[in-house]
Amino acid sequence: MQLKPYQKLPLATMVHIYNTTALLVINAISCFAIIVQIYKHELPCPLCLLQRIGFLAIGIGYLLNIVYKSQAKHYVMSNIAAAITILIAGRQVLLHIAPHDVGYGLPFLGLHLYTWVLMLATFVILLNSLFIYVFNDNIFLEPSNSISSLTHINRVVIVSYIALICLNMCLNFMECGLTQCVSDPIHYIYHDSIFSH
Amino acid sequence: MVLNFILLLAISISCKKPGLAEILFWLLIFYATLSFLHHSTDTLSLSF
Repeated sequence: MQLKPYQKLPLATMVHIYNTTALLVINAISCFAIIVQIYKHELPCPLCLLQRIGFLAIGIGYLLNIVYKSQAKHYVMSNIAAAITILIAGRQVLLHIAPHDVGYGLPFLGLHLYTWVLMLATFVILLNSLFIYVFNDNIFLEPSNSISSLTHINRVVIVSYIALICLNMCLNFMECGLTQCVSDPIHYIYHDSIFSH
Repeated sequence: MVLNFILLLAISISCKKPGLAEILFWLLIFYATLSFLHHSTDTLSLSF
């Protein structure tokens, strides 16, 4: 019997690779947003911050899948976080959809970051749904993981995910403090001199 | 807004206890939605 390409690897390995890669991509996207913020001195607006939170929240489902057994509810958690992110990014796209509106922030590859977020969050929902559809219930029959069985790559990805949350939290605190963020921020409340060029 | 990140951090740290992580996740979704509604409608007051 001819095996399909995805059947040549053990299913547990494929599921593990999928979840680790997904969390890694979320880390990379969050890292990119922080780099843009620091080097371009482009302060995120409240909706941008909420999109960051939404994107990091998508990673929670993958994180739980890596640490524990792959479960349907973890994928649902990722999809719900992605749906909220779509709502927020969609709102921002609609705010700037008027003619001659230059949008918020610098575009990347011709599109603003919130438009990218809208597309990526949609892609997350499609990818998760497709993954569950293709592998059906088989991915939920794998044996449970334990924290001690995590590989070095898993540990690095998880630690960098937590570090990115901490970094985002610090930057958010420096920008807004404990008060509500302003709609169009132009400087940090605290330590503005650190990042200004 | 900072509270959202605090919740995210709490979830990622508490992933050793999946039950707690899930409760905090739903709390995060609830609070993030409230924050979004506040910024979209200016009818709610969430300063922290």
